[in-house]
Amino acid sequence: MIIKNIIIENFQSYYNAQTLEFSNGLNLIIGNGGKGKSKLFNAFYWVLFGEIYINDTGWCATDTLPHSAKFAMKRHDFINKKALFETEEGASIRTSVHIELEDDQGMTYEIERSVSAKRLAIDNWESENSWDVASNVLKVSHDSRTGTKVKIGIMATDTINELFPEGIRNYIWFQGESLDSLINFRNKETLKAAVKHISYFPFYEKLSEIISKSKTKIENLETAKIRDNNKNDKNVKGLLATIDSLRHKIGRELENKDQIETNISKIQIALTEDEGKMSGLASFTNLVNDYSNCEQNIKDILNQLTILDDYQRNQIPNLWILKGISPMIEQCQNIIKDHTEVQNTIPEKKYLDNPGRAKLDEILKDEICFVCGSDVKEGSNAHAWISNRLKEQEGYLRELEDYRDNLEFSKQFERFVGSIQDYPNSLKISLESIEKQYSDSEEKIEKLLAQKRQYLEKKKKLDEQLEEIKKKYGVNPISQGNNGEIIASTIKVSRSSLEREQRRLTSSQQIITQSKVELKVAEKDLEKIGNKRGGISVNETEWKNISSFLEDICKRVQENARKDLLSKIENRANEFYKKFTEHDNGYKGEVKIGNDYSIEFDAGLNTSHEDRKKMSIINAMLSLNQDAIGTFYPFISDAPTSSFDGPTTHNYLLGIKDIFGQSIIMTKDINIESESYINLANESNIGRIFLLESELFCSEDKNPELHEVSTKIRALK
Amino acid sequence: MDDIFEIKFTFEQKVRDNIILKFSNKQGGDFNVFSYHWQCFAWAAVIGFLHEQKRVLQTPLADRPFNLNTMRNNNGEKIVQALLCMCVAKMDSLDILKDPKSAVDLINEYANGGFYYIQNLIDNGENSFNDLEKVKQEIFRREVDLA
Repeated sequence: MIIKNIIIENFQSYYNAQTLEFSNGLNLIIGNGGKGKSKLFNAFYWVLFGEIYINDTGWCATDTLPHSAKFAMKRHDFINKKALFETEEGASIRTSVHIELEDDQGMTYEIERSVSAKRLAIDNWESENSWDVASNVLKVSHDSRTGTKVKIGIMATDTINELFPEGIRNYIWFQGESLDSLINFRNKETLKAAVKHISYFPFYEKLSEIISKSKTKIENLETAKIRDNNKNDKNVKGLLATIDSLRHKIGRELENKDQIETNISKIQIALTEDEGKMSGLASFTNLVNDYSNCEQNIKDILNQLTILDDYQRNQIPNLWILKGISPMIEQCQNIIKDHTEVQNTIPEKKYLDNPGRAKLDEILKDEICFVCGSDVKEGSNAHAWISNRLKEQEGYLRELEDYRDNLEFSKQFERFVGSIQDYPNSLKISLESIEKQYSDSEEKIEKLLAQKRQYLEKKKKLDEQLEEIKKKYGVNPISQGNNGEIIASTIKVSRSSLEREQRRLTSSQQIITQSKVELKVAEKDLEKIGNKRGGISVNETEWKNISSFLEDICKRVQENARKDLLSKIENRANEFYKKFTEHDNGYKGEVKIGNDYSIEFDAGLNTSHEDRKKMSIINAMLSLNQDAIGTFYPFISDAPTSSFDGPTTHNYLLGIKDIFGQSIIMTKDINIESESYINLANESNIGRIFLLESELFCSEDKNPELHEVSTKIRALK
Repeated sequence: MDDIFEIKFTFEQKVRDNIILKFSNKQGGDFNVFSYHWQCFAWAAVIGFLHEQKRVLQTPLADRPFNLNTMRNNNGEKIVQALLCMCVAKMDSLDILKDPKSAVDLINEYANGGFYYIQNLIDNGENSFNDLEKVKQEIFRREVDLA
């Protein structure tokens, strides 16, 4: 089967109708994060199954949105935002995805799923209340001998289920992040389930089952006939009753044994997992100590930073805002000093009033000093001195008069000046310390921030190590460090349950062996009677013997086929793994699969190698299935390569292009400017290549709103 | 003579709405740069005095919520001293203190000038001006600005 094209209209990030045409071989969809790759993957899945993938939630049907309180996606949220935004009140918007398939017989199928939404309110187009979203409508039309058939609803769903059986879906349409749930090294049930879903092996099981059931029926028929032929023979009747009872007993015990084996397998898986956890916890005590020291140091630094922040927040309003005012304080100090000096000289100024004004006026008038007889003519030094003295005296007397006139106010003011005269001195000391306080605290903050960065870097590395440990041992030594005792006690319980189940198994096996021996004896006794007097052998006896023979052969063939299949999976997975790791120089190990579906876990490998092993196994099974059944499905995967580096991605794509008849891979890990991309594009079996970009519906310098950006498809090949 | 410590300061209503409430918690909280409104007022006054930004207040005026005593009683002794000293220095005489009301008016006008200076910084693209780092920058780059 191949997908010929997909038309996406107003679905998630795809505005209006956009088409992608596909061909055989590898089809690549390249795009950076947020450009619409996962939305395209959703479109494929939605058109077929009505569900979209939501991170941390999984596949969700759009008709049941929103289905939980913590899950915030609204009913209309999968419809393109720009299309919603442009829909006027009362009008409806249509979302649809249409794909065209061609099956292996060359029949064409057209599948379309659509939804319409009516805008109820003009304001707040994003509100849930503004939209009435109808249920989706599925329509399938396909060629048939009698012409084109059109199916809708359940009939259409049935056709899709025939085209893509449920069991296989997860393996041919998978998100990179779900890889762990498909193949898990610690849980052999995952490989067993994969074999069940994507291999021819179930046909052997089915065949075996048919033969066993037929044999039982034939045995019943045979017994009934023999009983009928020997109605009056007590011996025969007794033997037949014994045989019946033993067969029932063996049948019941076989079921019981299967159940015990299933229990043992479950306990063993849990035990392996818990022992892995214990070994993980025990091996990383140093790491746990390092981690808790690192966390404690970061906490201490944050505390110190908080203290410094509080200090600065305290100092700014109370002192630091005064930075730079020192010249004004200096000036104020001088003004106060001058004022104080003047005040201090007031008693000395009293001499200015002695001799008094009348005497001085008299000397100027007489132009001679009445004390010493000196000449005081105008222009003489003595005349100038006395004139100046008179002015000073006038000022002094005025001041004196003012002071006496406002005696109370003057005293108050002088007291006030006295109270503030120390301000400048006190302030100057504080102001001088501002710069140092600031630079000291900033320096400490810088140092602490540098330390914090170092510890955060260290913590990031430790987190990466922890992630690795968690993947390898299934336990986080930090968050589950205290679970050691619980795990130990679980292990103890599991071991004792395992011993008990193994005892039950031994006893069950003994019962089966013993019953089979008894059955054999009874059958021999019956045969002896038959040999003596006949009437024991009927037509069904021959059929019984043939079906017993077939059952035995079939079981052996089935077991051989199972081992053969596992060995083929291992071989082919190793072919892929070798291709994936071609460029690696270091240790890369190999895929090893046990007869009991276990996959050997290699502690020496990193996550990228593990992921490559898992993908090699899935790819191996899909390609073997294709070889055996002759049916191939398009392999569609979103971000399968996110844990790979550039060369690994390149090799992965080279590997995959020849495995599947058609593959559609969405990836961000390709640089279209690189030489390796150009080489890849020119390889054989590379079909179409598309680049997903953003189309902006606003000016480029503006940060677009949600409804102003959508996906634009550019065909590169 | 009036008690200068008891005369209440004032500022424009829009200054209160656009700046003081942006930089200070209502009263005594500890989340913003300033805990009290008067601290933001003192900061603006210092800026006004330093940058010679004296500006007559326009109505409507805000309520008169604090005086020098409020500051003194809330660990703002140095701020009180500085405001009085700057006032004297600007007038180049102690005589301004003989009329306490005019001294308080003068401080009000310089604070008003300071607030407009801050508003200008906010308007000129400094959207995050109301955080601790920006206030530190204003304070510790003063010499550069003044030069």
